[in-house]
Amino acid sequence: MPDKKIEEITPEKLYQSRRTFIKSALTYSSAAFLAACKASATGTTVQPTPSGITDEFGDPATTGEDIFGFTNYYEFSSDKSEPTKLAQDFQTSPWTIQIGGLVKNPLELTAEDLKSQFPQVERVYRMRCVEGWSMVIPWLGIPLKEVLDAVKPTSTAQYVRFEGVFDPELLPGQKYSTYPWPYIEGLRLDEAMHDLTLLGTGIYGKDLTPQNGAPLRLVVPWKYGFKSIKAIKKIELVKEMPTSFWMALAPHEYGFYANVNPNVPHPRWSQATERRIGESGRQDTLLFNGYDEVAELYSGMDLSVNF
Amino acid sequence: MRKKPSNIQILSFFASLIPAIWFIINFTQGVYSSYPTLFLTQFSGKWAIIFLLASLACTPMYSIFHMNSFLQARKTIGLAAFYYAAVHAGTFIILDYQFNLRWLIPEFQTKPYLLLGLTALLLLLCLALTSGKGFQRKFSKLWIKIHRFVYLIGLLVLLHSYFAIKGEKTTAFVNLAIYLILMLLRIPAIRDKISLKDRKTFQNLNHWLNS
Repeated sequence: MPDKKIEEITPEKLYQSRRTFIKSALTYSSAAFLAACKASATGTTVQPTPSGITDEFGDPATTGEDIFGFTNYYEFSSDKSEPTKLAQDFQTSPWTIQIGGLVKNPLELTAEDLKSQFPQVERVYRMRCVEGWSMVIPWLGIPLKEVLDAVKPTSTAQYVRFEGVFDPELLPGQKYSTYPWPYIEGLRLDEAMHDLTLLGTGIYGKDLTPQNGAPLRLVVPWKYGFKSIKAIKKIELVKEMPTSFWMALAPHEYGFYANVNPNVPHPRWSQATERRIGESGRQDTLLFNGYDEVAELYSGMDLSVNF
Repeated sequence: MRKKPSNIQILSFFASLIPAIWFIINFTQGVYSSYPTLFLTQFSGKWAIIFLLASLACTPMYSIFHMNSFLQARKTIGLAAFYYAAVHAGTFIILDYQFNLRWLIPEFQTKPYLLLGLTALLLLLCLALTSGKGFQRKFSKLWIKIHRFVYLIGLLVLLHSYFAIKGEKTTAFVNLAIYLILMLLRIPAIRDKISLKDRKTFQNLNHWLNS
């Protein structure tokens, strides 16, 4: 297995600018509010973050303050800022992950081992939440394909099922609730093998914070954010389509595919437009979140039925 | 000359300001900086419902405790419900969607709960416009008819919030239960059964509140 360190795979210049950014993020955090005020008052867009990090559309990366402080993590709370506080003492090490099911070579290993055995790449992806907001996030992650190739799926495997952490003692959101815990997600095998799909390990060059899904989460940038399950404990290759957490709760609202699609309305939030966190104004949402290269995965499928 | 406001008017007025002050303090601390319009929409919507239910509680409270100061509070609290609802809808339509009809019209077409909310707001506006003492005196029969719409507004708002809440709907069901209890307390048989027999119990407090 390739065994690369972050420093080797990150261009030095980008890495340095990221250092500068993290420092300046702290300086700018107090100014961020004023910027937001100013922006909403004048209708202009906030200036790009000083990191200079952009996605391939040229959209500036969302500030660390927003990425680390504004999350959806129902295992802790349905509030957006509470998980950041509640997850601070959540132990994510040691952390064992099982990768099995319909595979020839099942694995059980720690998150640390996984990170040292597989190459980590850096990708700046847009993240579109089903709630109508979005971010641009500089991820670190292992291409899921590398891990799946290592466990060798059998010919009967058609889907990948992901299971999140279940520990009501440590996760207040799981304690008194009627939600169908643990969090379950799933991908079709070809979606899981796609080059864009990552097992996320870090953000802004550092290990994932607990509130962002440490130590290991899914990152599927062309699907709504809820597909990108946090704090993964188990990855299973299966024959049948898994029922995801949100599908189980409200099947008419959340489908299995959950591809970002401005043409399929949601009964609650706008899917035609989105608000980029940290910027003022709304913008049109793009089909597959702008990742047109995945369109071939769904050729011949009616995306309004398979939403 | 205008009459000096009574203690209950002053109390209910400042009580209705507390959530707004709380939001402004948090706002200046940067608590909502990630997505200010989302936080303001949810905050103002939540308090619009709380004040609406509180205004619906005033009449039963008056019947049970024989304190007519509740009827004075009712108007202030009802107006607060309207102001918070107006901020709620205004944030969504103007601050979030920038009054862009190309974006707004499809949303109202595909989301019935938005129409429920808009209808409730327009009805609340009618109530707010006719809430003055002058109107109430001049058109007392019409005033009663118009202001009975608040029962319908309550239902519309609760339905609106049921569809607007993501995931577990506990809050929506609790609100509905409160609404139903407040309706039951208006039924004369129930009202008379639980109202205090001794009309003088809270007379001193009532007197002070009205002074």
